[in-house]
Amino acid sequence: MALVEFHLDPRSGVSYYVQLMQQVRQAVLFGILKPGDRLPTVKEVSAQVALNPNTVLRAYRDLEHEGLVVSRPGSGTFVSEQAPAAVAPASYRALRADLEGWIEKARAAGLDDRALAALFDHVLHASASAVVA
Amino acid sequence: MIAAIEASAVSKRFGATWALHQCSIRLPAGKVIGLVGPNGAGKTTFLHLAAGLARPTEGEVKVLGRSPEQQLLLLDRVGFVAQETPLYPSFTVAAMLRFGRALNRRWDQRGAEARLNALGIGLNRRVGQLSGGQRAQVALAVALGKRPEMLLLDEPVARLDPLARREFLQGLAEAAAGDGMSVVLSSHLVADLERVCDYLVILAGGQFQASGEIDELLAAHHLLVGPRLADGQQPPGVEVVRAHHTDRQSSFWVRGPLPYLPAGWRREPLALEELVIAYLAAPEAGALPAPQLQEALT
Amino acid sequence: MIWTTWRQHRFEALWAALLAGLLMTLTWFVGSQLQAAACSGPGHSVCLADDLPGRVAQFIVGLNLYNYGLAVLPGLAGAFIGAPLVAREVENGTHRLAWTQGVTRLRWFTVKLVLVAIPLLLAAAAAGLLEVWLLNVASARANHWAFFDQQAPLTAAATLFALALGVAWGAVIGRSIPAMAATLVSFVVVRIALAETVRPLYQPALAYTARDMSNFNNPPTAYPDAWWLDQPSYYDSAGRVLSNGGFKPAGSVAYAIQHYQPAERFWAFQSIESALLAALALAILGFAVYWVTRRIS
Repeated sequence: MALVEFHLDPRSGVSYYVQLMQQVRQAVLFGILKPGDRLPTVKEVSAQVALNPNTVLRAYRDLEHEGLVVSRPGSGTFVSEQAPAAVAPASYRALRADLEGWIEKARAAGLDDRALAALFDHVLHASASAVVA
Repeated sequence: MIAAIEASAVSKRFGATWALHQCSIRLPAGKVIGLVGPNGAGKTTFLHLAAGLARPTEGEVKVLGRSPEQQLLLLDRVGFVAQETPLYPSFTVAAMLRFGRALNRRWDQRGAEARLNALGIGLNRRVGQLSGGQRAQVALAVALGKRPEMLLLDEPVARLDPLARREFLQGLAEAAAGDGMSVVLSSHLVADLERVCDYLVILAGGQFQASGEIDELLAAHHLLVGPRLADGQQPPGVEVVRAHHTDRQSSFWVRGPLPYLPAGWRREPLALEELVIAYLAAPEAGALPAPQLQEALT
Repeated sequence: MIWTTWRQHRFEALWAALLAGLLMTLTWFVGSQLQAAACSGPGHSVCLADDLPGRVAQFIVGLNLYNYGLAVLPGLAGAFIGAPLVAREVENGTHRLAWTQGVTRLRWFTVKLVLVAIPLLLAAAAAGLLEVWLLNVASARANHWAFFDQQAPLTAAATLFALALGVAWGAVIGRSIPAMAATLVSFVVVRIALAETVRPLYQPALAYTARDMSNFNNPPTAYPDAWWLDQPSYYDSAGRVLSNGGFKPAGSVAYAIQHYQPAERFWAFQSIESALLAALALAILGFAVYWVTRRIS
């Protein structure tokens, strides 16, 4: 039995392979998938969401480039040992509460959703380059 | 690499009507190819030519590198599910599988039974008593039973409810996931094709309008919106698929590299369905150039 | 494909077996009753015992069931079994299923046709032979010519012909019911045309001259088992024709001439017409093969 299943949103504007990747990342983040766990096979995913197998393959390959998963020919695709540790549910809840508060403040200040997302992206990227540097 | 289907200047006439007119195309093997177009555009005709059910009036069709004269070789390797998923209503499901086993040299009985058992379709049910979705699944199982190199399906989900449609596409995607089987699937529902296909062919007015990997098609087409241009004027450097004007505004669906956009012009997101509709709305404008050019585009 | 053909046509096969079996059983019953009564036969009129089986047999004889039945059955077989062979697949679209499996159309068609034809032809031949036996047992004159269509080998050839017509109409029309109708109509038309216009000509007719006008019979009693082809033509002593149409003219008639085919030629005629129908059948089947393999999509 597969450990996780996927759900595709045709209207999200995000391509299907990106959605798959996001869902794998989130599963790892929330500890649903732990390092060493085996992802469902390409065939299983295709059959579960009625998705072209090459699309699934592409998602798995990109995840492998990111270092999140490792493919072992003949055995399958596994969450790599170097995957970022899962976030504890309590931390996750706290972070989520913080974020909800921030969003409330930003809206009260008059930012619409687009401006809000733009601000977040900007700060996120700025902080990422700060980390790299 | 051997093409799944190759057509050279193929025309097909029925009485006084030309269903296909001077069509040339080269479809790659190992992909799930969607064939989209309006009714009467020639999708069924094209699939019948590929399946060996009909002969072109002019031109040549090659399937898996073989000409249709090598009939038996192709009959063994090509599975076909016709429109309305024909089956024998008085047969049981088990009898339909036996039919497949009797008429084909290579037959995977265990695989076919496993597939139907997993779907909960009892082998002793009479085909005439099955629901539309179950009949489609049985037709698919029979077509896949001979482990074909290529599977052709003519609007298999057109009459099915959303759940039956989803289950059929799940089965199809799963079947496509092994063995490098080529699949050509015609449908009206672009959303379905976007999920299960990686390659798309647009057929309208008896001509191939566009074809390519879905990602590449999306990357190569743009919707440009800007102030009204004079009739006959169009954005430079790209091929116009369709143009539509209001008094103040012009919209161009174009094919080619994204041109430099002058002030006042913007690029709108173009979903696959919109791309397809643009071609279907203007069949004269977009006819696919000869395969050599088409390969250059992709 | 043997199993597939059986599975698709088993109801027709059972119906055909039932009808043919019923007819042959009745024919055999009547014949055996006549044999038991031992009072009919060549030169004697038909008579049957007065007990229950005899009366049942008399009833069946009165219906002339086997005579009409055997004349009609080949056409029915062609229409109800031959016409749907291809037509039913085409009108249901299942030809697109059958012709994309691992057998060529030619093989599919040939195997189906042969598997259906063999039992039909065997049944038709058996029924025809039974009729020959019945006529030898029963008929007052044993005039086989009167039941030309009902005897073997013609029943088998007619069945093959009807089957070929049915299959061809079915292939061309692509719908069962119209194809059945076309088969029945064309079968009847061709058979009647053959019987009326071509059959008398298989061998040149012999002429019988009746000179004893006082003892003149029409048809003449000289050859009771012959097939009389026309009405007598009357001539006067100078050899002039007095009347052609069979109406005995007023003036003095010297002699009359009538044409006939003698009894000895019966089996030759059966063979010729059988061969003719078989050749027609094969030509029509050849056309049907062409149509099925090249013209349907």
